[in-house]
Amino acid sequence: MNSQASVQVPNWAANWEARTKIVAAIIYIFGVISLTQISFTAVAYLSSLLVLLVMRISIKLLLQRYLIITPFLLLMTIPMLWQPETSNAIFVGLIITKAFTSMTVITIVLESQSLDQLINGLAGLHIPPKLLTILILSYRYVFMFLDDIQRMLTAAKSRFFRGSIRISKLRVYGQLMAGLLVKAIERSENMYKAMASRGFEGAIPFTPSNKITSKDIIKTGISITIICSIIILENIN
Amino acid sequence: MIAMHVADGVLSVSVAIATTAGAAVVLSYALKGTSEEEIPKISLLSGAFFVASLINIPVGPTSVHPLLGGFLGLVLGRRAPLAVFVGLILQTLLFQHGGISTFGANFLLMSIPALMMHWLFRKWKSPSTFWKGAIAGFTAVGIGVALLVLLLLLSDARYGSGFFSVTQMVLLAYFPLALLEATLTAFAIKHLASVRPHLLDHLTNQGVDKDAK
Repeated sequence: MNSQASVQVPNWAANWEARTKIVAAIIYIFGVISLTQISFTAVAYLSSLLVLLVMRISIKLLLQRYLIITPFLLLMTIPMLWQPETSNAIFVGLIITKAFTSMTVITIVLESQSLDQLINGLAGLHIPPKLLTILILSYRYVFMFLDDIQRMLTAAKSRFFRGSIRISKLRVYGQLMAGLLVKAIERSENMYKAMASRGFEGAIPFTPSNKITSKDIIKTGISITIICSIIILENIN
Repeated sequence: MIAMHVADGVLSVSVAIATTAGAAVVLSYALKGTSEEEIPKISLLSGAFFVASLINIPVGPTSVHPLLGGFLGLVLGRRAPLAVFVGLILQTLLFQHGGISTFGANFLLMSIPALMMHWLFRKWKSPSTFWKGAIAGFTAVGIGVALLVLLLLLSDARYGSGFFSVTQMVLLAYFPLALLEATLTAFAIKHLASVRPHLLDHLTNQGVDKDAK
């Protein structure tokens, strides 16, 4: 999350209420993917890039995130480039621009607020409390499981285990996975007892979301106006 | 590293909206009737499945990681989509994989195969645990890839056109992964059955089918 950005992001961005920020991001991304012309998609991309720069979020971080989605984008686009047609090249450009715009918007959302703000924002968007409870409990324990699997792999390596796709190695990987699940089940049994003794009734209480101010509505409104304007201009053309 | 995470921009807006709506329906089905006792178990198993799916298996100069759709279906049954939901959110928060407009599509690509494997082995109990794992692992990837191809073709016909199309490349790229997934799931489910047999009661003739009640 916003490890590097929390101290750098300007106040207007950090104080943008989580629910309105998430709604703005979702509408912007759906708006972008509805575009059909590369020139207008590029305008939407540059607009999101401008917001990211104004929020003082690291470009290096953004480029790293582009790299994450690049393998899948290559799988989806390279075969089309083997056919030397201009329409295919434009379509490929359109896909990549849309994907990068979306990643830029996701980066803005993730880097301009804390996880707690984001989770509270999701809670405020009327996501079922049970689902949110499952999400939060999973998130809290995932780091413990990461440590567990790291320890298991280290133990295996200390016995000269070297990973590969040979059957004997896959058996070890399968057993490691099963071992991880067994640990999870054992923990969950103790966890339920502990939670039930503290009055757990299926949902964790959440901090109420911050009040949506007129400033939040203006910021979200501007985002929606930008993408709607781009869509309208594209349709006019 | 290849994963079944469709990035934003790949699917058309109509497909993105339809899959988002479909995902909401599947998620409601999975969540319906969840008791408070189940919540810690589902949460921790979701976290464990997510971490297990991060294990990188070296293949030549690169690596692959399992999808575990079939494994999820066998262990979590109708609650499997909840673990998929958690996994996708965690992927977004921790690794920025996936997309917003394609969240529904990614969710369905994993959840539908998991649910289908759950329904299949709720009825078909004769194979050994090992073979149930192997069939579930392979078939779940196969169904997921078939759905992905369908969504791509519904989004734009160009994904399926040409001498060596995107859809053909997807099928080719995922076939070895399906074999790998079958082997991994078979060994994992067999080990799980030997350590915690009650967890897989619903897959055996002795088991009580909670969903059927």
